[in-house]
Amino acid sequence: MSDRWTDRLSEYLDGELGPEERRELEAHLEECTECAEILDDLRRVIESAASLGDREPEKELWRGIEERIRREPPEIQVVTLFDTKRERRRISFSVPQLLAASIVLAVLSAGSVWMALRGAPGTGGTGPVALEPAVVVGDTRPGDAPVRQGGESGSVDAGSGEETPGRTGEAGSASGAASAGERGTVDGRLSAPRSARPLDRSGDAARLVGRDLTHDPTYDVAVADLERILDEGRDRLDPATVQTLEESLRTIDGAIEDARRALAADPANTELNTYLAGTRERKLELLRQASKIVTATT
Amino acid sequence: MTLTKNPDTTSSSGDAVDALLAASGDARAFERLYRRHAARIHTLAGRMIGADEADEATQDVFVRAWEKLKTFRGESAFGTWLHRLAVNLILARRAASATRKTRFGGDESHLETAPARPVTPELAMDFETAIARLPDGARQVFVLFDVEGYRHEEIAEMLSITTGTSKSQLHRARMILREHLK
Repeated sequence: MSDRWTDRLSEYLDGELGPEERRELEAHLEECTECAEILDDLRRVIESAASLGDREPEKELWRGIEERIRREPPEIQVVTLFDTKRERRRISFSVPQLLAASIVLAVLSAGSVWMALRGAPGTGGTGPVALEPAVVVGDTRPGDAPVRQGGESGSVDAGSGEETPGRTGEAGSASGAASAGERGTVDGRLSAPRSARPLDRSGDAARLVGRDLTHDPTYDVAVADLERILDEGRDRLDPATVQTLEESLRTIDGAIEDARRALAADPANTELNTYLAGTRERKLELLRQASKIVTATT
Repeated sequence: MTLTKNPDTTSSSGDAVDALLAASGDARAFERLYRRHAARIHTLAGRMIGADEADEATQDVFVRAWEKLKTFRGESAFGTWLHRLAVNLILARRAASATRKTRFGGDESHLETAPARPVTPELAMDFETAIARLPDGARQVFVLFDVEGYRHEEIAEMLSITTGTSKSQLHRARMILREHLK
């Protein structure tokens, strides 16, 4: 048995009836025990659905996933934070490129250590070698001076474009590509450094040569600020997250230090300059994301 | 088999950091993400397309997520991003499967209107099994609406149906399932 209201009971439960129909149905329920009974059953169905739990896969699926992702590593992305032309470009390294770079770094790093231990000409000893900053070659622009703003304007968010997974039949297709040059916010506290320009692998990488990538006050201020935010909010993070974060930062710092030493031995090496810039930006990006998490949990 | 009720208890801050690390090629970070979200995705796949395909679908989802990680920027929770990616992939898989069945003579469109298989008490099906036995269209809508919490407008878009069809399929599913709770 069903009447004209039976098929509307789900809409009633889901709050999708208009006020008039809702009143009519409620009046009907006063008189129709069958509909009232069905309504109770439907409520139980909804409650049962809401209480369903998740089941772990019975098989170990990770191994198969791992095999596939090892064959197809993602393109590694280094987001460029420095932006003055209101355009955005990215430096991307494939894994083979990074491996090659790491080998170069290891060789050069070992070489520089060997040179330091052996004693550079004129140093006359085996003590610590002062690494002299490379000379900055031109390319200074208006606004290149380090800028520290109060946080009320232009703040950093290199990641303004998050892809929304596609619709049926085009799963995962890009629909929200990064909007070029937009400055979002990190946490409303930091302004976008104005001192550097977007980088790419060709011309810009060459222009990095001779620039002092290890002494960029704007970068240092940004890193220090983010580290402070992170430090203050450390207690709000899951300990495992903090540990992961610290390990990652140590790894990145190690890579930066290696690159810095290697560059001291070979300041004109464009690959090393690019690698160092990318690694420093990666650190900044990691700190930025971590700070966002901290501020989000405030 | 382990039951976990609340997938949202996963550390969202841990997710964000691991997603960032994974996007830079850290497979160990990605494995941590997998461990935290595998149950939810696998269960979703099982309910949507059946236990037979759930394993493979789950692996596909995580491989696709790995490929797409560079597009995730933490503007939504990683779990939300992954879940939506999974729904889209699973529905695409279902559509491809339906096409194959049609091509080889197994038209399942009748399932949209056919009555559900009568259930006798002897079958003693639990609620999960009862969901699995729902007609295809009703099951999709029921899982997406009552289990996963999507709105009719979203479901209509995902399934390329009208909101009216979504509502009627939902009611149909509930009416069938109420018999299993008696």
